[in-house]
Amino acid sequence: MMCEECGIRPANFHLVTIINGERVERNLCPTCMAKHQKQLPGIDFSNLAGILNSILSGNRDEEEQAKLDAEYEMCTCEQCGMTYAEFQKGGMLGCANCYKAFKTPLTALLQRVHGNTQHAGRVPGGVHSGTSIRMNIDRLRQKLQKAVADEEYEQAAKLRDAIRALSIQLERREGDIKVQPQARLKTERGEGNGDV
Amino acid sequence: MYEYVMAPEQDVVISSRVRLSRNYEDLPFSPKLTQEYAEEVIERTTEAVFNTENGAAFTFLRMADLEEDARSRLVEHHLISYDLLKFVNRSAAMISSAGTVTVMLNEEDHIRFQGLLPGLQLERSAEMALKLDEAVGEKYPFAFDHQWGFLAASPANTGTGMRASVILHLPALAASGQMGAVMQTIAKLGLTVRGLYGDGSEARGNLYQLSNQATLGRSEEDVIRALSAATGQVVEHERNMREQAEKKDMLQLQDGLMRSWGELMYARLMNVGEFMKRYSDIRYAASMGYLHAPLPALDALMMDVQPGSIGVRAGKLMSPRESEILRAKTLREELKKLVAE
Ligand SMILES: [Zn+2]
Ligand SMILES: [Zn+2]
Repeated sequence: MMCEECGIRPANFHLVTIINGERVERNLCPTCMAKHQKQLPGIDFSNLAGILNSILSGNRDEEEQAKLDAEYEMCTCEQCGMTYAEFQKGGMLGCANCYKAFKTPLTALLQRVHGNTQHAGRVPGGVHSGTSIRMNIDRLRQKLQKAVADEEYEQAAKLRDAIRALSIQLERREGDIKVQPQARLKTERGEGNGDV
Repeated sequence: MYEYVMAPEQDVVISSRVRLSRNYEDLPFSPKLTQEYAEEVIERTTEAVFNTENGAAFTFLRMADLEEDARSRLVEHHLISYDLLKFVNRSAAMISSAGTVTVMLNEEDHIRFQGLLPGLQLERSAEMALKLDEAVGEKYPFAFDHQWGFLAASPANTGTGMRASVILHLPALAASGQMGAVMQTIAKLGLTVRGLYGDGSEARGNLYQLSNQATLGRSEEDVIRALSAATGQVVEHERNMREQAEKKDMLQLQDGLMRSWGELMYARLMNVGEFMKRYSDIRYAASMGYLHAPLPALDALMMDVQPGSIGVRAGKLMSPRESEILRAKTLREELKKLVAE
């Protein structure tokens, strides 16, 4: 991905700023990031964690994420040997197992970057996307039963919220499919070169 | 005589592209990818892709085997990403004969599948990429988690792993000074807009790229639909502004745009910066019917005279001045052919 400001250097940074209550997201190279740095004093740009912690947030999870990051700094993925500190520096994970090894801080990070932590798309083999949502609802329901049985009411309330959110997503998806978008075309509809 | 097929909304939308990030579940990701594992990625993927129904249509290229200009040419034609060149020692690409499907290997992720079509055809572009993704994933499983979806090297791509984008030509909107407002509206929809070349406020050739931001939490179909709808709105807006400009003073509009045609037909030296301005003008003129040149041909020519591509055309290393001479000459010859038809 190229830097959105200069367009000539690769973008290594994902910058999210809140302007008048609205999220504005940009991918920037280190040079252009540095320009923004001048306008945002007091932020450490020396590593990805600094950016994720200070700018991405603009919300109160900031301290929590910083705590998580510090806590996991020494954590290592036993599969590939990547440390969490290494990931924070380079922004890339070393293997599929890293997602398990760094699950807690990554959950917080994914929430910030995507505003979501639940996949709603395809699953391998091209199975329809609704399937993965349903599978997750089932999984969460099982956890809910266990939480209720264990009298962990705070946890149960959280799970209920998550199930509700997923159910709404699922309904919306299935509702959407019925409404076909109307294509309004001025130009002659060409076939393009669809085939390889 | 050539035949040109107009793609949907091609007066404003130059092309639609969908990229999918995938990683093999049992191989280390980019930061831990040794040369040996990179070879394994290439072996598996080429084997799987060549054995698909249209497998014979693909050409396999190792980036290390290509000259610098040839690599740049692929980027300029949007056949590979610029990032693929960050890993020249291990990266490769498989490109379909029509250039509509590309498989990038050992970029930031093991695989990036790409579908690329002219005009607004996001759905079909996604279909082409997803079809190949399924075929390869069936043979060698991809890293996948039921909560987080397809696992990418960067968490920013995890989930669907899908980036959908369109390239838009917005000369009338840019001239009206409304790009800022359009960009703000688009940001609210979870989409990103940026100048394709140059920075956001001063896009070269008035070309803008619109793409989805998040990859986790929404289905591929949802994202494609949202991006298509937003694109449709921008297209309408641009068309309105073009109509208004014509209503206001058609002769002046024509005069301004057609002067660029004159420059291109007679210039002896042409740098890329100036060319992109002129290209924007003549594309605008062609879309209004002032100039009888097919848009697909203008877009193809635009890519063909970019720095790397013009170098490939020369077949040798050129000085900046030699490049400008060859660019001007190529434009004179090709544009003459276009209107002669
Ligand atoms: Zn930059
Ligand atoms: Zn790992």
